Amino acid sequence: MLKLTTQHIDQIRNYFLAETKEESNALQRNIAPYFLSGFLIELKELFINHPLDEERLRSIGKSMGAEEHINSLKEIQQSYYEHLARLYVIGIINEDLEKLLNVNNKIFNEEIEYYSNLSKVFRTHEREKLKKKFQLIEGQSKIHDIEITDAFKQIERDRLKSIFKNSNIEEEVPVAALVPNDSTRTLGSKNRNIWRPIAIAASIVGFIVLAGYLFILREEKIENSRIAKNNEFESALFGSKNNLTENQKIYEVREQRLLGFVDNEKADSLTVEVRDVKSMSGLIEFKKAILLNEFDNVKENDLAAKNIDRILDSLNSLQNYLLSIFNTYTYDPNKKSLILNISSTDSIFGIYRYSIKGNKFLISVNLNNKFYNIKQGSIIYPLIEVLNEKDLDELKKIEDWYKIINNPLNCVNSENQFYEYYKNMDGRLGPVAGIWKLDNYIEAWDDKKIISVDSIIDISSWVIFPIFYNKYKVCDIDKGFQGEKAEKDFIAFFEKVSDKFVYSCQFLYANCSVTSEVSFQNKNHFEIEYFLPEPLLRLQPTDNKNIRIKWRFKWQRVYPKPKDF
Amino acid sequence: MSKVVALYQTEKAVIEGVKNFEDAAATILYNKHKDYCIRFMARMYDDAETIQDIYQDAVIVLIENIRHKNLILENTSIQTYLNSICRNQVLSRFKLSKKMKNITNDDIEDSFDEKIDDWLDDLNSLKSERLIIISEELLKMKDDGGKCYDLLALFYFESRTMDYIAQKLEYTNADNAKNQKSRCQKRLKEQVFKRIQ
Repeated sequence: MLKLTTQHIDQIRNYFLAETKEESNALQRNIAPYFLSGFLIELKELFINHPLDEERLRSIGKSMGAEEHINSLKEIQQSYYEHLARLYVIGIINEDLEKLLNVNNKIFNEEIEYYSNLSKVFRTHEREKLKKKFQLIEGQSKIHDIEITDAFKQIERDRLKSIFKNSNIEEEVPVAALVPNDSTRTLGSKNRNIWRPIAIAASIVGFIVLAGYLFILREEKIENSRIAKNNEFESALFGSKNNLTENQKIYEVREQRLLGFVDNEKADSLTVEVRDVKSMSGLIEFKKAILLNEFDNVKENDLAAKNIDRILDSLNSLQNYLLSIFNTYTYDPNKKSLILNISSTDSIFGIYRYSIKGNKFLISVNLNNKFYNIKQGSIIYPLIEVLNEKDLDELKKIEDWYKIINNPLNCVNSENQFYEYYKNMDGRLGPVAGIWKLDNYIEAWDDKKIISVDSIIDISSWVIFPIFYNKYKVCDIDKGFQGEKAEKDFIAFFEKVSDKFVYSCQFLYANCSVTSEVSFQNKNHFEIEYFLPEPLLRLQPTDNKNIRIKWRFKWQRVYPKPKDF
Repeated sequence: MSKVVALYQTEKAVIEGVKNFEDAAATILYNKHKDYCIRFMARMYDDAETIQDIYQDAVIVLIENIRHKNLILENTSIQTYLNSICRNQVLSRFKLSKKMKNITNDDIEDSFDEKIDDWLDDLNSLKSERLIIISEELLKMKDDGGKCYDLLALFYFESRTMDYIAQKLEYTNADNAKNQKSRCQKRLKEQVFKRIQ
């Protein structure tokens, strides 16, 4: 008699939860013996027509030697109803569902009610989200309107100021002087009558302008006092701007409007997620400043430092500085999301402005805006949605960079990309970076003796690429290494420790035990070998339990060639 | 022109984006047709805030019809379809109101003649106790952090595949996502039924 195993139970579950007829047929073929024996048909009939008949379920299970799986069958029954109820709610009607709808199956009816409700709730939440989004868009347009109005006001003020300056000069000239004398007059004596009203009108205009200007002066005084208060606040937080030396580059960044302030009396730390940062000009500038400014600084200030260590050192110190501001921060380029963990002692409000002082990153605040509470885990949407093309291009470039240096699973996509990168970096990638051909083979060892050697025919190209702070990633570009889609089952690194490079690797299930020291300087060949770790050996089907497998790698540099190096 | 706009240059692309729950597509849809619809409604009704509210509801109706009712606009444009929703909503809301301006047929130009589904189903107020409980428990899940809310929304609301969900929520594979989904669903159900009982 056939006896159900756990694997069969999984197959039966998949069969009942199949989305399509094709999928169901394919799964049915997998479990053909059970299907042919009528077990599945009987089970399905029970699920549809007798949902509460537990005795019959036991009897069917018993007939298939599945006594110990009765609970699993019950779970499958429940999942089957859930699955069909979901299909019903999203409007996909299949054969089983039709049958179930035609019988009065209490459990299934309850499932339908539950999933309809769930669906309604999600729709309501989605509506609320859309509504909020639209209101945000409206709010944004209003802000833009205000900004435009302010801009016009400023233009008007400047214009009035300039008129006033001119009228100052004219004030010293008697009104009569505005009237041309006979010698300059060309239009005859009658024109004297024309100039007089103009002169009177001009003096009236002058008076209005003067009054307007006095009013503006008063407004500006109020505005300046407000700005002074803000500066005082900023200075208290971050130190005075006047402390900057002339040589220090200041990246003034557009104001980034974020909603909210931190109200985290209860929480020890606060996580704020800034979403859709494709639109965060602040973040772009921030990254640009970190990545480009730091490199520029190295180039300008330390021309002798043509090595990656210096650059990565700078990046690392900046990273530490950032970490001292936020407990942690992570940028997810896929979600375009910046996650800031702000310590409980900080309070951050309203409008943020990012700026870079030398190699320091600052956030300043503006208190003159509306505030919203941000609770733990709040999500903030920047108000500015669409950037201009230049910004997006810039962002794209920086993101590519950022992805590479921040994610040890990432690498360059192709040899060509590496050539270009290498060229742009003007040889500053250090002695390890390059394209290497790898020849590898394995030896099977039994009781300390080699019993066989298998050469792995596939000789592939690998790029050794700097990722972060003295660390290099080994990337297999022959296997279509594609940025984020990095193979995650094996990664290897070279790390510089003192003057030596240390190779380490990691499989999905185990670490390599190897920590070979490798000398790269002016060497174009090297070899590494290690025994496969125990967990991986267990995955290799072998009859001989004492067998050990040693993996040997032979590397040969193909780019840059020794003469280029 | 920005790249975001460039991505949604055709109506088909916008509809596809909306269908795929892309936020940018909804924004483009909202912004692109707003002026015309608002002007169109302003000829019938005075109150700017109400008009804006109606327009927002109309866009939500359109988005829901695209997402959940497989709306296909073959012989008509999004603008025309939206105009019709707006027109019907204004007429229905303010038929008896004195604020309604006298309008002629000429005023109602460029509108969609066929019968359209232009009302939001009555979901706005979660009246039933069960709905309220489910909503509260889901929001609690969301506030607690973790991926349960997003996972359930992607599966039950957006009808995404497990492969897609696994990639989006960074699970190692679809099976893991599936197991997690079952756990989340079970947790939600337990909480809901505990409260109902």
